[in-house]
Amino acid sequence: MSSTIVKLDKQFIEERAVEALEGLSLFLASDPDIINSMSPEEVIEQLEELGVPTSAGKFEEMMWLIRRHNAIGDYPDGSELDVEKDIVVCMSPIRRQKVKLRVKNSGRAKLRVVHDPLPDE
Amino acid sequence: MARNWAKIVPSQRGGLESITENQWAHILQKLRLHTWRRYRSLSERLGLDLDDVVHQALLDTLDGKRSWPNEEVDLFYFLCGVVRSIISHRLEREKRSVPLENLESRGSVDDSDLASVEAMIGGSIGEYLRYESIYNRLVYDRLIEQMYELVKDDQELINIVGLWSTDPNLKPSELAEELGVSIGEIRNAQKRLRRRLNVLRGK
Repeated sequence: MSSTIVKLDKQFIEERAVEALEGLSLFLASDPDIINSMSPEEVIEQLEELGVPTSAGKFEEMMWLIRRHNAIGDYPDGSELDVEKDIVVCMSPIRRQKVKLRVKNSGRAKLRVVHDPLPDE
Repeated sequence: MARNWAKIVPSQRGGLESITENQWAHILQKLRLHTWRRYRSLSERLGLDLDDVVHQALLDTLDGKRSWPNEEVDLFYFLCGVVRSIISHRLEREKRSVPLENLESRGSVDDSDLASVEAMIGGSIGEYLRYESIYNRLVYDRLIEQMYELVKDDQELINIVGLWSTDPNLKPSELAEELGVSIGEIRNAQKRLRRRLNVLRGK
């Protein structure tokens, strides 16, 4: 019986040691310093290894946001907001919540759609 | 009742205008890699789309909701912090909204705050260091011995395991500093460790 215990214990330690090394590997691989030292090609290669789409879908949406942000400018001349071009609509993609949609006339340009969050259920 | 309109705001940017589209693309891909590596297991448990988290971090930064102190911190590191904060809030909300009787079936949501996720990333070591019982001490000593055994022909990995096992909170940059090597060398060591683990796991 004691040999069984010793054997199980050895197996337990071996498994935990591999897990701990897996943890160390993941810790190093996800570290911002280490990722920051990678070239664009290496980053893409690693994303592909993880099965994360690198050029389409969500990534393209994010790049679109950046292009739009860069194109709009920062009103250096003090001009007013142009609701036809210069708006960013911020909505949480994480949390789904019921909203009441309605159209509001800002008085200067096109009508705009706004939403009121409903109270949490 | 105060109205909480959808937030429609003009762009507010600090140093963001100095970042080119190509730089943005690289920063975002790095951020996605960091997020997917670090939080993948957590996202599976919570049913969270990690690209949505990255998207939210980007939106919050572009619209000035999270203001980037561009003279103090690199944008990539700042965005990593925003992602961490978003996930942390999400976890808090999850804890509040999930009835107790559902916790077990959802896979220990109660334990899944960021600290425990990061401890999981740190592997079993932290677990045995945390509780100073004789049993844990014995397991810890044998665990370290076995880890050394698994990397015995790679001096750099031995050094990393040695340092990290005494303090799982050491950052890779601190490991590099302690060992007198570059962060690139730590990265190469990680690649060798990954290959070794693939062999051990029979992949």
